[in-house]
Amino acid sequence: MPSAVSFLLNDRVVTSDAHAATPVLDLLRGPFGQKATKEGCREGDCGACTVLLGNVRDGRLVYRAVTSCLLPLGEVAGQHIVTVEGLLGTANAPTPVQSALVAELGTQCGFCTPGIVMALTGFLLQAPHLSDDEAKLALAGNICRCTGYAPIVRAAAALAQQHAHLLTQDIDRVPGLIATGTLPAYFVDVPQRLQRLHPLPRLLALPPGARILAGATDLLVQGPHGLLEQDVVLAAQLVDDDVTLANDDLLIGAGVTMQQLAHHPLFLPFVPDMPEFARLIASQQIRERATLAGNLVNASPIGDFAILLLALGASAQLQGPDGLREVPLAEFYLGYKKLDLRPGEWLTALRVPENARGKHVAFAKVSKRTHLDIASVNSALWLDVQDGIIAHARLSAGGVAAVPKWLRNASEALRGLPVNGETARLAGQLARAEIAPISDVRGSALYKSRLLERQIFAHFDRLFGVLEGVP
Amino acid sequence: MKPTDPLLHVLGQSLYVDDLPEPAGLLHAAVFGSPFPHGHLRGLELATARAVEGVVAVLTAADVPGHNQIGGMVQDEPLLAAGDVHFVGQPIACVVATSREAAHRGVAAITAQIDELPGIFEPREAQRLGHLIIPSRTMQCGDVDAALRQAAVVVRGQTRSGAQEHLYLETQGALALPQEGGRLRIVSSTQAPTAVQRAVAGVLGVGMHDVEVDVTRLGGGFGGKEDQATPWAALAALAAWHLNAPVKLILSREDDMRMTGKRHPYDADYAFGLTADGQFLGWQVEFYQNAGASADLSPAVLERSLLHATASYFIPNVRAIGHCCRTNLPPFTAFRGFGGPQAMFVLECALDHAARKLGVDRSVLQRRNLAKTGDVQPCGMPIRSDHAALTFDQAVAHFHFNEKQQAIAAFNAQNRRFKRGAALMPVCFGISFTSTFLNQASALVHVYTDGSVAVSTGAVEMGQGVNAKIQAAVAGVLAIAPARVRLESTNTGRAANTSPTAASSGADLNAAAAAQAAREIASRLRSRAALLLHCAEEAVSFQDGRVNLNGAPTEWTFERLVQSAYMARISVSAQAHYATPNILFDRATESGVAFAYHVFGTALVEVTLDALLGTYTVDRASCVHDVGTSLRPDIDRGQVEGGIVQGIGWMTMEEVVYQDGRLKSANLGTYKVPDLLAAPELDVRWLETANAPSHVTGKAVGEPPLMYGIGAYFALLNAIRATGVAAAGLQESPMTPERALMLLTGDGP
Repeated sequence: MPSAVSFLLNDRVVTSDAHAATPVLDLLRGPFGQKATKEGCREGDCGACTVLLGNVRDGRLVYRAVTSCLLPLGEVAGQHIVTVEGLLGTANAPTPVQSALVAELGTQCGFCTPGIVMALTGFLLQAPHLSDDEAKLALAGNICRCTGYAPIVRAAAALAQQHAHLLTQDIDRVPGLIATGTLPAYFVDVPQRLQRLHPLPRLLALPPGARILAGATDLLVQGPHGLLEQDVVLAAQLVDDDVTLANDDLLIGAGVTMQQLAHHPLFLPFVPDMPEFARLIASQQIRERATLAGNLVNASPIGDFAILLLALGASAQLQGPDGLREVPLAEFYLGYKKLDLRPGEWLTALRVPENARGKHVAFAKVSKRTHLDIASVNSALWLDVQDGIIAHARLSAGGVAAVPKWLRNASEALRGLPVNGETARLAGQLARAEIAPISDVRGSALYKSRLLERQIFAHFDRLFGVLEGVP
Repeated sequence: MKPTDPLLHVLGQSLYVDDLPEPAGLLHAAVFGSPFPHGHLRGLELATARAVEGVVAVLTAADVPGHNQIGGMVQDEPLLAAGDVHFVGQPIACVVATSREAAHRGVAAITAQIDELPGIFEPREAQRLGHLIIPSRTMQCGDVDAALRQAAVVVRGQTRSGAQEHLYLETQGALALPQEGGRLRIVSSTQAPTAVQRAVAGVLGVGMHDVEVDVTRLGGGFGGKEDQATPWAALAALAAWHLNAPVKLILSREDDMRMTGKRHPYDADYAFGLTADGQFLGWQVEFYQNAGASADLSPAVLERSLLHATASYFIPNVRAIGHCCRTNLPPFTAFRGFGGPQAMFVLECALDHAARKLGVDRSVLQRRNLAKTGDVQPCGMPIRSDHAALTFDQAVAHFHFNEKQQAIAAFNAQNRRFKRGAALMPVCFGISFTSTFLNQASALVHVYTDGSVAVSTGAVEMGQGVNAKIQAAVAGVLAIAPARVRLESTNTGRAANTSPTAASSGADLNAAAAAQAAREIASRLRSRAALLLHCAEEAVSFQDGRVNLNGAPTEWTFERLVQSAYMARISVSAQAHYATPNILFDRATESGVAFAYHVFGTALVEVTLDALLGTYTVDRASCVHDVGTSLRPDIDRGQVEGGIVQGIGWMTMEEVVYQDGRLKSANLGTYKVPDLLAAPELDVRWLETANAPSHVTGKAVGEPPLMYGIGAYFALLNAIRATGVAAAGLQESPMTPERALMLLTGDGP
């Protein structure tokens, strides 16, 4: 591993020889002296430390708003980090984003404001549509404790209107945003400057004892201290971040982010409502960085994608000293945070079988707060229905066992049953019989049991609408 | 355009404590807190911590040169525990190191030998065992026992409201800078600079004049930095004093959540008597306030609960009893509303209970019993306006409450899975510190020879816009552009013996003092102008930065007049003091005019419930709010909007979970506050009235809107009941999706 990482910080190239797992936030506020970026929670939940992360993808410079507290240094090698300081042009005037927030009084105590400014700038740079809805999604990872959000929403709406004529989906927005003063002029040269910088080198094998950072949006929540005392490699050094077809099966590279997958044209035929489900998973800032591999290997019993992929019948492809092997996700989880992963092995891809495509899929998640929260219970249902009869079913649930749970008995019992309210009720009851939730801060065991039963009912209601009513 | 706070914020140029340039030799402190909720501290193993690389010192109670005591209202809170520990996270030792990381490594290396003792966590249990911080208090009027005997309808029940984490985005912190001659300068994120100054002086055994506390701004306060900013400033000061080096102490989010107190949880019992047609006759309420391990501000919070026991209503016979219960939890503290929300929640629960018993909509009982001019509150203070009914009626009319109720009923009849609900929430909130002596403020206004103005007051800017209001008030008096008036940092050297910026009164008190100082300067300038213009003083007026004679502009500008006054050796500086007139609350008799005035308003909160999953959205919150004649209605709108959402958070998703005295919701992953997608659509209207009372800056607006959020709880209850379930047992907030589902499935109370 090289000892130093170089990247473009606003308009200057900087180099750091800190540990690759060091959160970029600490470097910004520490050695780089950029104090505009605030530390609010260090777990990606408040967005005060939001920065823009720019890199060249498919020949185009792409920016994403991400939380710098969960951004490991190694990942920004060769990329562009933009902080509020980097928005100040030579005119020394506020950008339209900043002016809109002032005009609407979308800032009170001001501590969340730099993060809001960056999220809104990211919205103008990257949102597929400059709609109110997209603006809200872009801001959903930013907590403001003062304003009640109304003035921020008003500012976003004003900005969207102001920029609507400049922006369409397939035009590079940077020149237009420079013209409106939203970005300073130095952004023009960024692609050329990034060409002279390099990401961390690709590796052929996992160095002995090394920890893989696959986004690290969960590992860094647990604190960087442990990570800083071991060797780490970036997922990008080992695995791909492509979604491809192989013999009609879907292959999802382990480096694919949640955001990538949620909108990927090859994945949507498997889960048509994925963009809607994705809203329930983390925030855009986190989805832009959290990887599928991280979510699965992290082995959290409530990992949202683990639940969804279990229902799709996905398998994990594992690379190791003895070559490649494949394990069905349903057999991958052995116990609490215990995986069928051998020493020296890493997850390279997920395979979703082609026969999972085009069937009925529902995902549900209930938490204290609907968005950017961890599930009390989440669950997914996949059904292959032929002539009103269930030919094949897979049910999965999180938060109800030590592992992301494939509900085997309930899944098998559904086969051959008609799709109706009675079956839905039975499915819920069978599911309850094979779970063992515990009481914790996310709810009592009784609540989780009841909730899972009702989520399963809600899946049938969503998919078939035959269940108008409450059991 | 002059940089103002909002502009600095968006440019990322506003400096909070942790953003200040770091002086050479800066050391960092971190705090070791008790791992047990209650126990006897037998010993501390500190050698390992002291050996950690970078650790410079580990300080304990033995290192306090003065009084190891920071209690404000009651001297019951040591800075560093010695002898016994009373809550998890109670500071025991302070590690000072060359970096924040090293300080935290040092903390992790400390072990304490503690003999654990049984803990008390429930206020009712504490009260039963006599663990009270102050003797229980009773505020009463009329004959409640007779009223309850005679009432046609009596409902009795219990309620519980939960704690609320402030979640100011900037965590607690302070920077202590040793000065020459043994003095200390402390930059603190505090709402109460004088409290910090007094505590530090006491801890170090020096005079208050040896301690300068400076506050530029806070990244949010909400009451959480009124008393509870003090320990961290005092620890930084103690370390700086011992080591003669600058020391910074910034709490990590998790330490902040574990070590600091929150909004008080309350249990309550009530008995409520009404006539058969819904007139309130008698109200007996007993509050069990969970105060935590030390007094902090709990007695004052309880006092405000007692003073708001009847909420927006007139009830002739009242007995309100308050128990300030000592438990083994962090000291609960001020939070926007300060005991008012907890009291109003109880009454609204009882009102809901009575409405069900009488078979009427709760709004019928609300409207019928709103307090009006001349109605006397239990403390003896009369209500002086009819704004309760005015705002209520305007809310009903503006927001089409009756039509909405019909639409909701129709929707609920047609939909089995989704149910809607709405509830009106009137608020009547008293403005003034109930500790009468705190209702004072001073201001120092300097006019410089170029006509620019600098103002120092005791008000702390924390996003509520108090600086902009003071700026507007002073600019108004001097008739100059607001941009010519700069608000200085809040500094104990320029504003002494300040009251905390709290009780919604920061602008009322400090803008009044600043305006008074400005008037003194204006008066001197007017005399000077009369002399120069050879006219009577009454003929001189100021307008748009110019001097007018008999209403017509002269060639004299404000700047030129100031220069002339200076050359004539006339002071263009003034210091003024303001004390709210005509208030006096007497704790001995539990009576008096506790407040300068009341703020009124009424909100309508609308929700949609997924009756299958127990999840919901708060769709809309609308209110008619009485802000008087505001100097800055734009700022006031922000206070109302932010307050409503914070109140809705308290009633819905914000759940502080302690288990055996240990905080389980100790980070943002487990404690959820409203995000943008959870925030309702907001519609804020000002009360339309011909004769709004005049205050310097408009009526106080910081706290009252929070209580509109209580409407969310009852809107949700209405939606839950639309499924046919009774939900008639113990009323407990917050109404999390879990509580909602447990009510829907019949597993709840």
